[in-house]
Amino acid sequence: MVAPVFAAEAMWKSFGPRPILRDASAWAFPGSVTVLLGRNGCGKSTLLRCAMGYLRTFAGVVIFREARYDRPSLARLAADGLFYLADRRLLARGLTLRQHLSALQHRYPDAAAEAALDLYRTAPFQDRRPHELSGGEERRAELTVAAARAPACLIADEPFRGLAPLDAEVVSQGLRTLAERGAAVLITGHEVHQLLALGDHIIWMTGGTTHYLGTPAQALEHRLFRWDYLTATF
Amino acid sequence: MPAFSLPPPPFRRVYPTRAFVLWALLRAGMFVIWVLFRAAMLSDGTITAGEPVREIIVLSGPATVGLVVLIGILGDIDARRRDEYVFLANLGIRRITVPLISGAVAAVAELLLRAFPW
Repeated sequence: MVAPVFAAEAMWKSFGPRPILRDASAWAFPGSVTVLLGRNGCGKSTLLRCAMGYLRTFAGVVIFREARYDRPSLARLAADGLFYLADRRLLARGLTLRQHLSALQHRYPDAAAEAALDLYRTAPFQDRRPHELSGGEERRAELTVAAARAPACLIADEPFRGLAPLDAEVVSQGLRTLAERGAAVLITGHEVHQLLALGDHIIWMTGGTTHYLGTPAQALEHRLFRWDYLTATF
Repeated sequence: MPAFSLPPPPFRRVYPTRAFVLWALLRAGMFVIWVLFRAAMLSDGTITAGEPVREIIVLSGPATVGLVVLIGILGDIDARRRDEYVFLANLGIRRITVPLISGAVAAVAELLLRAFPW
């Protein structure tokens, strides 16, 4: 197996007396899509937020492109080639998609805005502001910005949430294309059919910790994963 | 990565503009309050007309520092309220940048007020 370009290793986190992460880890491998699955509230988003430096952990380390971050910060990771798409709004309310892409290109001259607009079919609404877009269009616009960055690693928290099937298909193709261009993609979500079809690696999160399950086919053979996360009829 | 980077355009224009508008609104609010107090004090005879203008417009040192810090904090809250920090971080911009820009704009505006020959 190829070495991961991004690794959040052995993260521990509690909210008050309630432990959320117990030795949880996540990895992203170049040229492939890794899917982090788990029940609601199991700590997937918390793990990503800790890895991006938005939450402090008791223990844990982030390794990105062979650099070690004991106290990670998204600004530093992003400058080194990572892009993080949170489960909340990414785009600034007052600016159009074109202005976001312009800012990105100003900061990263090698950003590929035109290709990203084609990839997510967002060219028709690049002069609209986020509040003028539907939920699905806004998510595609956010992914357009992410793809324009041409990141070495994309971490996207629930990129399929609230998407209609056609939009979800566009997003799925976009993420696959990004991986084929060499990016390491790590995503979360609950759209199991879509995610298992898209993913190359599956990580299962339960009880605050993570288990690497291998390929989607191997994950489907994992009895406990099927019992705990998937329905009996899956 | 450089220790401090300014946000790229159009964000480079957005944060100073917001900070200046906020500073102007706060200063206008302070002026209105002063006018109301002054009118009240003139009417009850606590003060007499003809106070020097400079003493009213130019704040004391601690008050100026307080105003600059306040505008920096409000700039930070505003950017957080608008969910702009994740995008800025993806541009490699540190979170401290926005309050620093806001505070710097307020500080420059206050210095210009001090420099003006009232």
